[in-house]
Amino acid sequence: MTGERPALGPQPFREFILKVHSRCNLACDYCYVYMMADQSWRDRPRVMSSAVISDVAQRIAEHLHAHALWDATVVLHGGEPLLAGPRRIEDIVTRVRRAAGPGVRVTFEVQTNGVLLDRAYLDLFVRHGVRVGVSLDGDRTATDRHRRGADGRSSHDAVTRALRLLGQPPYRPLFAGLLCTVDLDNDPVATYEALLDHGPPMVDFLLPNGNWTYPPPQRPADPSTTPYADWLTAVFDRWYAAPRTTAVRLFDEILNLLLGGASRTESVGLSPSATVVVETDGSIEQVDTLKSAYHGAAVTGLTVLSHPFDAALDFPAIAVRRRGAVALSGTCRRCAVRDVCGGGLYAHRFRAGSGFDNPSVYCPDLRRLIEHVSARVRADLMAVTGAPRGDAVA
Amino acid sequence: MDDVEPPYESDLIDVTDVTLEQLRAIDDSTLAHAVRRALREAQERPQVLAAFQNYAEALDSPPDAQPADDGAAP
Repeated sequence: MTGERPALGPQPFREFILKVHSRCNLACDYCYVYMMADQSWRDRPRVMSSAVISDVAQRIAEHLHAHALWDATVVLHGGEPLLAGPRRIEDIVTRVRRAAGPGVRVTFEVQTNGVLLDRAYLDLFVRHGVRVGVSLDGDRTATDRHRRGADGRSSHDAVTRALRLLGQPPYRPLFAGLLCTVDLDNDPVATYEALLDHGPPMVDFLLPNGNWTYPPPQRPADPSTTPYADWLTAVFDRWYAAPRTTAVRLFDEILNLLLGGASRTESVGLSPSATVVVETDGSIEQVDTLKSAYHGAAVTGLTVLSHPFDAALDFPAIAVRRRGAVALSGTCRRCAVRDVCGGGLYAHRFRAGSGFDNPSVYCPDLRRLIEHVSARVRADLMAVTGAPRGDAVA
Repeated sequence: MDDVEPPYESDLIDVTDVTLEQLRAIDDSTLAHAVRRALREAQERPQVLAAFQNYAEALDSPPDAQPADDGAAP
C-alpha cells in the first residue's frame, strides 16, 4: 500500500475551533499562543463578542448546509475558554446549534486547563452534552515545570480537584481525555501512570512545539540521537503490555496506520485535515499550532464578519493538508515510514527560508518510534499466527 | 529524468489473514484492539479526517446525545 492519494477536491470543514477567550489564567512557558513566534493575541479582543458569536453561528450553519453535512464538531478553545464565563459558553452552544437547525448534529467539546472547571460548569456541560478535555503534564513535579500562573503559583491542586469531579457521576461521560506535553526531564512511565491516576478514557502526548529554526528543547541536530523517541517508547511499552483500559491517541493512530488504516489526528498519518480556527474577533485562521513558526503564520485575511468558510477552503496552506503524500517533502516521499509518520505535525516542518517543505524537526524520533512499534507488532503477530508478517501491498 | 522517484516501498503490515480465533487468544490486548479496528475500518471504509491535536478526544467514543430543546436533531 503506497498511501499515495490523489489530490482531493474541496473538502469542507467539519471541525471548527472557536477561540472564545484569547487570554489565559496560566502562563505555561511552552504555550504556542503566547510564548512563541506569533504574538497576535495581543491585538485580539479578550472574549468573543455577542455579535461575533452570531456571525460564527450563521457561518457554520451556512457551511454545513452548503455542503449537505449533517454533523460537525465545535471545539471551544483559547487561551483558556472557561474565562469566557458560563453564560457566554452556553450562548455559543445554543446559538450555533439553533442556527444549524434540526437534522444537523453539532458536537461540542471544550479543551481547558481545568483550573476553573467546577460543578457549575460541569452541570452546564451535562445539560448541553459538551465533552471536556483537560491539559495536564503528569504529577505535581511534572506539571509545575511549565503549567504555572503568571505569579508562579502551581496549577496542580486546582486541576486535580477538577479531575476528581469530572471522574464522578454524572460528569464522567463528559470526560474526553488528558493532553500531556512531553518534557524529557520527567520520567516517562511515572508521567503516564500519574495521568492514569485520574482515570482518563484517553491520553495523548504532544511533542513540544518547535521547528528547524527554533528547535524543540533537547532535540539535538545529530539525527542518531532520539530523546523523544526514547521517552515515548518507554511509555508505549508500558501501555502496550498492559490490558487495554486507556487509549493513547498517538500510539493508537500509529498502530492503525501500520496496519493499513488511517489516522484521526493531525500529529501522524496522511488523513486530510478539515479543521478551521475562528479567533475572538471573528478572524478565520489556519490551525493555530502554526503560530509556533512565525508571526502571522496562521493568518488567512478572512473573517466570519464578511467571508464564508468556503473562502478558506482553497487557501494554499489549508489545501496542502488535503493532498496526502504528494504534498510532503522529497525526503519524506521516499521514506519507508512515510504513510505512518505523514511528515509529522505540519508546524514542526518549518524552516526559515524553505517554509514547510521539510521533514519534521522530530523526524529521527518519529522514525525510531514507528520502527519500534512496528517491530513489537510484527513479533507479537508472529507469536499469535506462527507466521512472519509480510508488508502490506497496494 | 532526474526527478523521477524510484518505486515506493512502505513499511506497513498485512493483517488480513489474522483469524478470529487468533484474535480471541489475545483478547484484551492492545494488539487485538488494533487489529480489530484495522479490519473493521478496512471493511467499512469510513471517511477519516485528521482532527485537531490540541483537543483530547477518545477515538472510538460516539458523540453524546444532543439536547433536543435547542433546535438540534434528536
